[in-house]
Amino acid sequence: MARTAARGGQVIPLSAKEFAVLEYLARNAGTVLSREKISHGVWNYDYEGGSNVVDVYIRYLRKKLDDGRTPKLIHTVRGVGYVLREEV
Amino acid sequence: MKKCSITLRVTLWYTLFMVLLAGVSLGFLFHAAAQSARQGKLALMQNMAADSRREIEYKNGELDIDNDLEAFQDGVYLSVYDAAGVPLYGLVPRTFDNAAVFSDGELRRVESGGRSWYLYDEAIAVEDYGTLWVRSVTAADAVDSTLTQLLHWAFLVLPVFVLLSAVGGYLVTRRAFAPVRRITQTAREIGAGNDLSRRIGLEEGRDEIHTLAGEFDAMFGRLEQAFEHEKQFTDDASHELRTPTAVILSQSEYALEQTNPQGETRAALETIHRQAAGMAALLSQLLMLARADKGRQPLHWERVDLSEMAQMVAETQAEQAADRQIAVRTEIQPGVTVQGDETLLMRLLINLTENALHYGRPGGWVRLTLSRQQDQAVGTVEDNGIGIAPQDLDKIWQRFWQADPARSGGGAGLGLAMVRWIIDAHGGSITVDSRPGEGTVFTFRIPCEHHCDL
Repeated sequence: MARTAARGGQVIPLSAKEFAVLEYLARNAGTVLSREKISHGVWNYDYEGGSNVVDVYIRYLRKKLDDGRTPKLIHTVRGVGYVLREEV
Repeated sequence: MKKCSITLRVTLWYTLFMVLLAGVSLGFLFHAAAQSARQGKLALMQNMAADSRREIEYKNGELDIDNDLEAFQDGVYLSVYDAAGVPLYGLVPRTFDNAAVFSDGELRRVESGGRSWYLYDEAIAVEDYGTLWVRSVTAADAVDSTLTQLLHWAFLVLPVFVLLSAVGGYLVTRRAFAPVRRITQTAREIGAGNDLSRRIGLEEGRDEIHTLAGEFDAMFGRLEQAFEHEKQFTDDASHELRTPTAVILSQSEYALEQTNPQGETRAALETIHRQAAGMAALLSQLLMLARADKGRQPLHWERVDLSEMAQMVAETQAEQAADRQIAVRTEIQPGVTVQGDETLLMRLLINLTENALHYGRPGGWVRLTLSRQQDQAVGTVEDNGIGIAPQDLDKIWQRFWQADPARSGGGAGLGLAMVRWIIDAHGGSITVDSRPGEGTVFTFRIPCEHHCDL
């Protein structure tokens, strides 16, 4: 099953897990989410995930969605986690 | 001798004894036969001498030798001489030089004309005349020739018999030991692989070997059961602990977010949260490995750009490594793709680099390389850290194993066990090379076009 996101009229293909992470962030848009929370939300407590895997997926998503675009959508909240929100 | 199989030793042993036995009995037979043949000839010679005593008379001043006296009988030549040795009657073999001095009543063996002869003389007293000598001669080799022939036959036939019995015996012994080879084979296979469900499975039998095989099977059964129990225990325990851990985690999170505590309360809650998170991670790793052991861990197969992933992982890890002044270097050939489970492959790269960082030295470096070689993606993760002692190299894949328990910060020792399993699940291989004090390099290979069906 092909999963895609669209930004600024541009279709961006995503892998299953990239999509799942983005979906989890979007459903909780505006809320700061800890790595554990994202991991549990996407991987349902399975170790496959884990906080450092979340970091790598966030990097993937930023590269695909945010690189070269403004405003940035995915923000790091130092010491806490990540949040998806549109801010200037 | 210790190096030979029992089959060979048994065969050699009794073949040797067969040869000895045959040799001794043949020698004995030959000796006995020769003895009896000689006895026979001697009896004949004595008979002929006795005959001549009867047939020779002194009548009317003349020696009368009856014509009935046979001069040749069954290979024995008879001749009669007067006391001075002048031949009076009879025959001697043509090639016999007849020079031997008379000797009464003694069987002798003399060599003459290139042959051996048996010689028997007897002095007979003829009434009114005096002494006469009766000499009988027979070829000794005539006596022996039958025996020699027998011996020739024995030398031809015996080796064939010995050979036949050796080959036959070897095959029978080998056959008898076949169950032992089967036991060895099964034990070896169980030792080499991990399939504890294998059994020797000999058919019913009451002999020692079948009993042994049965005991072995029972032992394998108990071993398998013990392993199953251990796996099941890990699985059950992790399951049972997961829910309370998740509750602690969510409750501490809730307390932190909703009540906004300050000072020591906040620090305490944060510690609880951090430790609970660590515990949850450990439990999920254990559960995953338990599922993997049972072959029930599902893999989500897709095409994965390993080059991009390695780059992403390296960048992510570089941020954490910066705190410890460890540089993360990369040498990544772009466009290396494999079929695999995206998250698991990411886990593989993360665990390997985390391991390298964990054992790296401050101010040192960690190097991640990736390239395509033929139909394999080949990656290396190298560090210039403390290295691994040679005797520990095969232990690093064990769960919860740690080189130095004092250094166990985080990690929990499941990372490399996980790496091993992920590599296996992808049909790849991984090797480790290390020099204590100089560093370690892990090299993994994953087939590029490996497809699902695991």
